Amino acid sequence: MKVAGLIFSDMRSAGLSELTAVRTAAAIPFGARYRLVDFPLSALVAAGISDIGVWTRSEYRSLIAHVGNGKDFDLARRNGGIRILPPFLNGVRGRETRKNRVEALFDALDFIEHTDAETWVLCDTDTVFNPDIGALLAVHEKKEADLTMLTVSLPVGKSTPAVPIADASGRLLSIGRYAGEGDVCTVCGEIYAVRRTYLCRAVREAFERGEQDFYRGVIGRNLQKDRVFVSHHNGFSARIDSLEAYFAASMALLSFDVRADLFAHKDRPILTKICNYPPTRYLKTARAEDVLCGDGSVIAGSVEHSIIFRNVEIGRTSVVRNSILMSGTVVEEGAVLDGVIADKNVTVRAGRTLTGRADLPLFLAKGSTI
Amino acid sequence: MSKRKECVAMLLAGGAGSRLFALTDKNAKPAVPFGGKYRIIDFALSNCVRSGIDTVGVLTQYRPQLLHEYIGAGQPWDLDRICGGVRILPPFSCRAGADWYSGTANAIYQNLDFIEQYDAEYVLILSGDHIYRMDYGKMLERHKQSGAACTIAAIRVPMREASRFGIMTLGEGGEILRFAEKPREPESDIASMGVYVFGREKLTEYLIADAAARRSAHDFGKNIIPAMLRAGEKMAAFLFDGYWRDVGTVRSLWECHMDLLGEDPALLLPRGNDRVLSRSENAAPHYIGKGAVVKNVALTDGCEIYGKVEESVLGTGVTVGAGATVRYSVLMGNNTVGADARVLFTVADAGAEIGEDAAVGDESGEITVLCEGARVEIGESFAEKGGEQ
Repeated sequence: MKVAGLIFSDMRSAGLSELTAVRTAAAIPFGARYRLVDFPLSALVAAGISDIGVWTRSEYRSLIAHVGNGKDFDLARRNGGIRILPPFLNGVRGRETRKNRVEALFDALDFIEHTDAETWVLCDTDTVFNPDIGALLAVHEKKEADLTMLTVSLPVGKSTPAVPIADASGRLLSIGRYAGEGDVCTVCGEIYAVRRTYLCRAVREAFERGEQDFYRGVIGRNLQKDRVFVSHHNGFSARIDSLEAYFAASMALLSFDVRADLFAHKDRPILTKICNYPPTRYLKTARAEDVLCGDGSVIAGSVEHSIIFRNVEIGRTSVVRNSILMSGTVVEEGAVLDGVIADKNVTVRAGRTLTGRADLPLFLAKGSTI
Repeated sequence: MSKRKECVAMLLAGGAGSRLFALTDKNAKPAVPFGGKYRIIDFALSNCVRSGIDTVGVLTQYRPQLLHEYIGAGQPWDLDRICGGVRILPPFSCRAGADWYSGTANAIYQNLDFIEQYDAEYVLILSGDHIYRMDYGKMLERHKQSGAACTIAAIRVPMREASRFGIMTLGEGGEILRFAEKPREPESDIASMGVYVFGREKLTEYLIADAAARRSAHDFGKNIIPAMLRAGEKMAAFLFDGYWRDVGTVRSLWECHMDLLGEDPALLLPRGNDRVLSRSENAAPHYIGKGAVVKNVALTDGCEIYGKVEESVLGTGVTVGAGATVRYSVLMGNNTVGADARVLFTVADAGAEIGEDAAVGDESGEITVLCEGARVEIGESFAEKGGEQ
């Protein structure tokens, strides 16, 4: 069974306007050294898939800079490898036809049809998890399915997620909307294994009918006849659909169990762009507790319960608490940050005090000086 | 695409590094881990790339497996090139028989064909066991301007250590008057860094003559340089004033790691575009736990720190348990320090494990070495000194 992958950036990034102002959702920095695309991309690579397209809508420069030619993901291949699918700007396939997943898939059909894979794995970039796509494909093959949907357990957030209902054999009966019971619900993980012939036919038909909804228009259209199954991912997963969710998912990495679940699978490492920053230095004056930190930083101040990306400087006598500082952040001496998300290359001048809250983090835009 | 290269680098990486004791039992010295996320050879390779030299022959001999795997196709250093790039050059057999590399000069002599195929005008000879950051391009420029047959990179060393090095006496114009390999009574404090630029034709001429000489050790410092001086060739020194260390002993390797620390480290690894390149292990970011202490420490990906770490360098994937203390030590990577263990003045090779409540090293000032994959059991004490301190 030859398998190829297709990753959709920006499928549902409406709630992330701060973080996506300068980049596509796939390129949102996450977890001290990653970007969101690393999670689905690494999962595909770990499953032995080496033909991967990344569909984008706009603002994809940082995505291209991150993925490059695929070298760091073992995807710099003579045949296949990674391919960014930027938008066409005019005509039938122009910007206006890329509003929802049905249209996005329709837009990507030529890529899908020109790759000799019988099975496709479709992924979004807004879920942080380390799914076993090999296991998903095994279910897909065993059930001789047209489409197999990965489900995850998620804490209920602001959005009302799609909730799949399946019988005991895993066959999908219907897709409903979350009805508001309990704190955690089983939802679609937005990863699908799908038979190519089925996908192309269903997408084409749905597009011609003008369907807007992927669940109703494609997957759920003919559940009596189509073989649609679910396969559950047991493990940590977090949906990044708002700044608050981004903050919470980031802080979840401070838990040992979450790190173990995401990063400790020897056969499913999370790959990312190699930057070759030197090791992080903690100076004599440094205090650090409950901190996740990438390479290349220099810490002279005090850091607590925070995520520190690569190449960050925290000056003497400054205090950083409950915060996320992305790559290139400089916190000068004596500044105090609590509940802050600093996008890349932010400078916080000496002595400033900045305070946000977990449910309303203070966001500092990329490149700003405060 | 033309195969011609102005300058080809030849990196000597075959030495046994026996003074590094257990650290080179199974591994060539250039492949010994350094600085948390590097191997020693990364410095010379990164220097080449930064200096615009894209063709590097790496001469290997002693325990080369790991080194070969590490270099691979040269990808991490952008040395996977259509023409040139990094080439591993191990000893080989031919119709006339097979020879090990019998000395540094012999290793280059046996690979003159490699240099010739690039029609290189200049040859840069490097050794894979020094820690320094240098722009060879400047040295090459100086070599061209001076019209010398050979230019040797030189650095001032403390007089008391001078007898460990090749020592040069310079004339007023920077020309080399005399050269003595590890002299008992050094005439000066100007030491050879083991970095040479030769015109290719001159180098070929002297290597061929040396190969025919019966009593030669086939060594650059002992034979080639003295022979060129005797013949009256113009020899120039290129004084380097940056950081340079020969990490040939356990003590010097440890000291060099300590130079990475502090507010203004003697060995500052840049974070800009001139970073030292290395093959990365792709581990998760490091984590400092609640109750942990990290002061004057260099840490890299994959570390999980729950204890107290001071004045130390920790490589990829080191775990320090709660209540444990690590001080003045180098843990090269994938080490586990159990809860309440004490590690002091120790260099632990990759994978060495220290059990709970164990004690490794002491305050004697000598460095304890834990070899690759060693295990100090729970509650045990270990302070075996080894190698040249």
